[in-house]
Amino acid sequence: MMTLRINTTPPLELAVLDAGPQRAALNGEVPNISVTLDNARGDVTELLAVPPLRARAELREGGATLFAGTVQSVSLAEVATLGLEA
Amino acid sequence: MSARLLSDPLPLRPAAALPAYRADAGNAYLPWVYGRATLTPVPLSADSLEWLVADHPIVAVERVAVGSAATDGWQLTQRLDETGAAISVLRLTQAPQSGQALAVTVLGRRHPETGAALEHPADIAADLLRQCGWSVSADAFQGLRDGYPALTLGLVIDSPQTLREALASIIEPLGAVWRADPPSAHRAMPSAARVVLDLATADEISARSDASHLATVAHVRYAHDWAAGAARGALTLEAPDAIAQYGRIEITLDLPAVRTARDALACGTARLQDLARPRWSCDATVPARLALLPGDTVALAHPRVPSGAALVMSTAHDRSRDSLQLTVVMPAGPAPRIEMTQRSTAVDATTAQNGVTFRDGIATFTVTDDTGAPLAGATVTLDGQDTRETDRSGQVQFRTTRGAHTLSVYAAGYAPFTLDVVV
Repeated sequence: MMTLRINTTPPLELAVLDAGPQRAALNGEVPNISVTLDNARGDVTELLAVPPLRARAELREGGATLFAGTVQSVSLAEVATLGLEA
Repeated sequence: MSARLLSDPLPLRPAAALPAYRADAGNAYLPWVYGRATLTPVPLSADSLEWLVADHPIVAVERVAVGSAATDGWQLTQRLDETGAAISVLRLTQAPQSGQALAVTVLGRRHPETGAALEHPADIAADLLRQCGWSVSADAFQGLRDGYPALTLGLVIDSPQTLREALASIIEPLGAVWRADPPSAHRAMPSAARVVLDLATADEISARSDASHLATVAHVRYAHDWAAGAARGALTLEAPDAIAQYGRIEITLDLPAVRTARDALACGTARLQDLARPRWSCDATVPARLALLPGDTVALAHPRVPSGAALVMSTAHDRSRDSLQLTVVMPAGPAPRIEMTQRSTAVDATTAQNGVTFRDGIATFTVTDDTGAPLAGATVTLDGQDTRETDRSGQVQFRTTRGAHTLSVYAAGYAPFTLDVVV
């Protein structure tokens, strides 16, 4: 199972529903990925009421880091989507 | 006259509209002046004695400088031009020599009934609408009067622009929001909520926040001089807690029409408090019967999005579904602490009230605080080399040459202060 660890105080550890493609390109586009979390009950909304923008975050699976970056965007609806940039 | 649309240009007249215009007026437009502003007038007569300072009646001309020297050799006349339009004309007793710039400080357009200067943003915005044929009630833009009771602006409009652009350039730099129909404006912050957006009222709702709008340091430029083409004052504001959290993200805030450091500090602080914290932008669909308008406040109380008071930024009425699609914005977290860390201003020794005199190779500077009280014991450095302290009268003297100099002022309890001075 993938988890997202956000380096806030205290740190947040969130279960990940899905992670989008990890994008990389020539000429300056910063490697990025979007991470989807379940928000059907609004519990992510409660945790991220002050969005952790520019906080360091790591997408992890089985103890390995899949992607490390900072939170650049947060969207809240039935699912929560966080945009991370390396 | 039918009213102009927001997307129509202001009815500025090109200099060529004056039958007797001078060819060297070029493509200039005849200026509109609101409040106190310094501008280069438009040449009228071939002998360079007559200059148009505003394409309308004004309250007064306060100062005329030829080259860098103030002169008393002038007279203001307000008359009708050959087309029947009221203009304000400066007549000099002696024409400027070739290469000498003419700068005129004007207290601009008058209220048509009271004769008072139009210098509050509410009065200026209402007058712009009237100039474009709109019917504007006396309490239009009352929210600006309530939000900025003591603010006065000074600006020159002398280039083609739409009515919308002109209104935006006056209202938005202050950190206010506005709508045209009916005309209203107020500070860009939520007030008392008209409607609660919850599970019962909002069909679809989502919220988004991103880091692209964040800024933690603002370089504020104010008091634009239209004759010199530059701002005469600058402040640097910082949000220390936000810098610690998000890093040092610098922006420039232009407040060209704001005249004083006090007003620039107030407007800049409010805008940096907004920029130095995250902000939620929420989209929601609600029944059309709620009749929400841009500028209204709603209370967010839906489990999917953060709770709080939010400002309606835009609405779209979907007639087929009888619904309103709203975009509302809401700051996240408390307003951050803001500190002024640097202040600078440009001073011209030819303006006596600026406290700069030059005689026999000695420049005397009087350093004052925002209220005009002398600052005793301030450390003043001229051009980064010679450092002295101000006396009880706030005065400090340096032996120096005529020309441009930089004064750095350090005084306990004040942000470091830089003066660009011409003596």
